[in-house]
Amino acid sequence: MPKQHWRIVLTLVALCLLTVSFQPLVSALPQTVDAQSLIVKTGGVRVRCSLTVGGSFNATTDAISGRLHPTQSDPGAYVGEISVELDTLDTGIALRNTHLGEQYLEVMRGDGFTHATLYNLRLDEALPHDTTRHDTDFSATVRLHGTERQVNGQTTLRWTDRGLEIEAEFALSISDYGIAPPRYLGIGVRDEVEITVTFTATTDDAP
Amino acid sequence: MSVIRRTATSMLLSAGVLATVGSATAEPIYLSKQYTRCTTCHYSPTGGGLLTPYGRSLSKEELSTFGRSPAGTTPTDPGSGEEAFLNGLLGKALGPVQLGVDLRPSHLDFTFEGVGNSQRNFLMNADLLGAYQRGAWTFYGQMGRKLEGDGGTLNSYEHWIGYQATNGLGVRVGRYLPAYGVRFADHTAFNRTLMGLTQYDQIYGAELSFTTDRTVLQLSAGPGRADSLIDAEGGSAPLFSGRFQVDLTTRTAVVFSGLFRGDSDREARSHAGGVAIGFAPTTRLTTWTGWDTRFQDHVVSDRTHVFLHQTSFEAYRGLWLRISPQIHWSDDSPLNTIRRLVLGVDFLPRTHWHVNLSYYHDRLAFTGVGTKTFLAQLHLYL
Repeated sequence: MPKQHWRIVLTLVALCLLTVSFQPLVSALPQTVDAQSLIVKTGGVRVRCSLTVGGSFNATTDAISGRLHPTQSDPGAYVGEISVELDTLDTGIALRNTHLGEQYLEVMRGDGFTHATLYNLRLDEALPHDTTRHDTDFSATVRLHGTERQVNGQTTLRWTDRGLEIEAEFALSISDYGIAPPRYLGIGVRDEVEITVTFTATTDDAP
Repeated sequence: MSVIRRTATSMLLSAGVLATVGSATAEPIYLSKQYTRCTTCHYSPTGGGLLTPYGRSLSKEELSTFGRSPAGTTPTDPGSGEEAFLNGLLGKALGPVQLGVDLRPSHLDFTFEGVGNSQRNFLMNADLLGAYQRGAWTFYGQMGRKLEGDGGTLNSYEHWIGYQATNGLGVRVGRYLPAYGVRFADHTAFNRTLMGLTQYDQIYGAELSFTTDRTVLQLSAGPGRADSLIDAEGGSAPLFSGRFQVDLTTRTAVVFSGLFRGDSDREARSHAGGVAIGFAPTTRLTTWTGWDTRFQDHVVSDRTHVFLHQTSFEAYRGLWLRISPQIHWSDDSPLNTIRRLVLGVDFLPRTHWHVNLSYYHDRLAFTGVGTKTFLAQLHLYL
């Protein structure tokens, strides 16, 4: 066989091997994903913690990142995830921050504990193309403290000149995630905390 | 002119400045730290008095300049550190009983413009406070020196039994200061003097409260001012009060209040209402603004008002700067108009050490007569 033909055969074999190798990834994402992904540019998370004696405090962070891909098969569903760095949560009180991170969220335990992640997002009513504001309920999975649970909430989406602004609110039970009941010198945090996530996302073909 | 001057003197003295200025107890300035409720740090639902273990710990770890535990170390056991009773001298010997000693050596410099100046060193407070909690029950008492002229008498101006259910319902019976408006640390603040709720105006009564994470309702009723009832001096009158607080955010609160006081041998019955708004835009800045109006049958004017604002700014950890313009006036009597400006510094260098420097400038609008008062106070909470 001429040398040139060997090159053609080897190239074909290499292409076949590459195709086989990437088949699982290809079947997992591109077949259902629209070309425009939503990329988190700026945003924040606010966790409202109610105290057992009445009143409440907020833990906040702006360390939020992630990417969501609208699917073609289900207009309201998104693949991808939004992630929050838990050791950046600030309650305004240093001792409370220490307790939150070390005793309750246990961020030092590593993978699964350093971040809270929201994925499997599905809007009850898909975002229309011809509106500037859209209010709808949603469901998603939240991975926190090494545990995954489904959450349900409400969200508002607005198209602005900066991109798509999203505000989502939901509640979760900290005991559902295996987090010890926060207690310090007779003052405690109630089991249900309210979470507000806000971020501005741009599409991946935006400048 | 002498009549006017006497009237002016009377008005300014009734503002409570010369008698005993200032009293650092409850701290609404900590709204900026997301503390909208008194009960996080104090046993009393209306604030002030004995600190809870949480309040003691907060005083050390977050409020004092140099008291906090070094970074990266575990805070000391709150039962044995410098935040504990007598710096933890007794360890855990007291068990569930919590005690506190409240001492306030003070210096007062008072100038009546055009008349003269007087200075005074005195012990504003020397109190022993105690609380015992078992389950939902709290037993609370205070015993100490009540200022009377240059001297003082032994008195217990606060003692009560309280029950707080986990569903937010609470009951309190005994001697206490009823809930009304915002209890500023300065008991001579115009809103407190107008309502007759200064440092020795506790009532005997019963209080019902309901607390949620966003609201608190406090209703109180009693036969009257405790000291008046005990002394049978004829000044007691039935009192009913209500206070409703809504936390719009963790740093924004609105407080609505109402108060009814019946007839007594000394005063006609009165009723009053007010609203106060607390707003803390940052973790170092707290503002409170309030308006109160009292209605009372009176020869000169039936309506008296107070407008008060206080801005507190934490310039450095444990160092607070305070400014508070206040005005007191009546509808039909310019004689009753008093304008006050308070400038203050609160410095908390170590746990439970509080240096309070306050300057008061009061001016009677009708005559222009004014007073200037400087208070230096060391508040030791042991």
